[in-house]
Amino acid sequence: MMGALIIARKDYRSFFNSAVAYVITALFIFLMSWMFFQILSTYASRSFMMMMQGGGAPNMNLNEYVFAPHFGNVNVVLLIMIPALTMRLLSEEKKSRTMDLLMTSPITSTEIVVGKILAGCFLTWTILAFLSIYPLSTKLFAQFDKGPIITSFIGLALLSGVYVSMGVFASSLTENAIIAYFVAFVISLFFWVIGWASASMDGPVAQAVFNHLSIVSHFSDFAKGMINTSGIIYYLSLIVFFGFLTQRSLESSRWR
Amino acid sequence: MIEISHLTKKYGNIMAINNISFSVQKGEIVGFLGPNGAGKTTTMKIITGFMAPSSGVAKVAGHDVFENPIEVKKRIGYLPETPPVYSDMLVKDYLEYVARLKKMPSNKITKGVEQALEKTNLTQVHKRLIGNLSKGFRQRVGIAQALVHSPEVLILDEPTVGLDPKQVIEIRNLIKGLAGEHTVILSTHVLPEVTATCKRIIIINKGEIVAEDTFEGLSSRMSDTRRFYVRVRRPANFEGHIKSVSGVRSFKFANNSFEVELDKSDDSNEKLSEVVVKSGAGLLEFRAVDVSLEDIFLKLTTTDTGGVA
Repeated sequence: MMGALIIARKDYRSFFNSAVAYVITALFIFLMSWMFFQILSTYASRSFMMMMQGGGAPNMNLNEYVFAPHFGNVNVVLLIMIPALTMRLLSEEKKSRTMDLLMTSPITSTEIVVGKILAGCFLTWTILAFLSIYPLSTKLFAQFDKGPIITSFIGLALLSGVYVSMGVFASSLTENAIIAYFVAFVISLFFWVIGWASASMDGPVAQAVFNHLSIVSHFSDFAKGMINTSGIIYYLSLIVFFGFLTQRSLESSRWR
Repeated sequence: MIEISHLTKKYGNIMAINNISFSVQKGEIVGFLGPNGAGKTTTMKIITGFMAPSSGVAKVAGHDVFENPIEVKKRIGYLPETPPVYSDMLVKDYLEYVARLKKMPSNKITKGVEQALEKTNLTQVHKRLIGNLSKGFRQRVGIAQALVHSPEVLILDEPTVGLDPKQVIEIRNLIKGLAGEHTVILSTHVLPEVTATCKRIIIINKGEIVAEDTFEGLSSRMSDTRRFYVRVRRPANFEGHIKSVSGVRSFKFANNSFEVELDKSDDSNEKLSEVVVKSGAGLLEFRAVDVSLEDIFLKLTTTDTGGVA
């Protein structure tokens, strides 16, 4: 697996050698700060009103009314952002013919795929690390439970791994980065809305199956402070599944 | 070092290479020659493990390319048609990355990169972005990339494309210098390149090997006659003199000069020069015309097409 780390390191560094990482991080933080501030001020005015009306201490907690919707927003933005980060990972290698170098180096195609997924994960995790400014700064003037915050970060880290894996797969299908972006976006979004089918299903089994397939339904557990092993296993198996498809897609180029 | 037996590759219905077999000894430089689309690149891609053959076996250093690709790839340096460079990387960083990918021991990487930079004359640009380099420099980075882990086998697909004449000579000398230590297969459609660098030539056309020999062997095999170029001051009655020589097969006259085709024997050679001098036509120039690789190449790659078309 040394080969995977070599590739991941090189790709991670090349994100920072170009403007990509900086532009995306800066705009992401700008957007999230705006959204977070809106949620927080709405919360503040509502709890003030409740205090005036009810007279008693408000039992609205920050975790439920601020951080849960905040992390929900993060999730939506990641869905749109991650395909943009991953779209070039393999398509560019094909386009600039550097795939020839990778495919004739003494590394397996599995190592190439793992390297690409790791590079994408490391970059998104770096960006996610900046999100800790919100709970840390809120901690200065308010009390809240830090458990759900930690589990939300674990959930986001895993979920972004899923998006990255889907994005790398989409990138392996084409030389065109725009196509790679859109395919990745549709696959990711489809795994969000696949749960909607549960509402139209008759049997309880079919409902449960579609509900389980949805990546958001698992995330809401993490946002509530639960570490749900079935969610972790589902995310990991999605990462492995799309990694496997990518490996097949790379390997197929040898036989064409 | 390299053994290819009965290699066939089809792209759909198109037969890219058909039942090719050859072998290359350790330390040899072999030129792969053929018109565009002859199957040179396909054969090279199979040897490097980039592509699987439809049938047949390729072995490098005793390892089957498809049974044991990692062992084979460790021993190969490959320069594809388009140099596989990242335009957003510095030359030096790129070569270090390649050395790591090729599983070079980490304590040897710095040395290897330095040597590759020196050999390809890239030392003065090692801190520049590859994207800002000219085509010739990028091609040299591609060659450096193939050399960096000093592989036993080098596969170079048209290594001197895009270089200026001085660099072409440098790179040819570099390739020649690799003989003995490294085994080299290089493909080209620039004919003088093969004569300048290769000990042995494999001519490939329409996916099949049409000739395989040294350059001398090929040129002697091509014809049983020699050609001479004769230029005289007074060509008026000279024709008759030439006709009188017994070994003359044919001759052409143009611009006060004759091109004479002669039997391949020293006797007729001697007789021709004697007649020319004694004729009193005023000899200005008398030289043997070499059969050029172009002639061989065209003859080999067009004869069979003539029948089809």
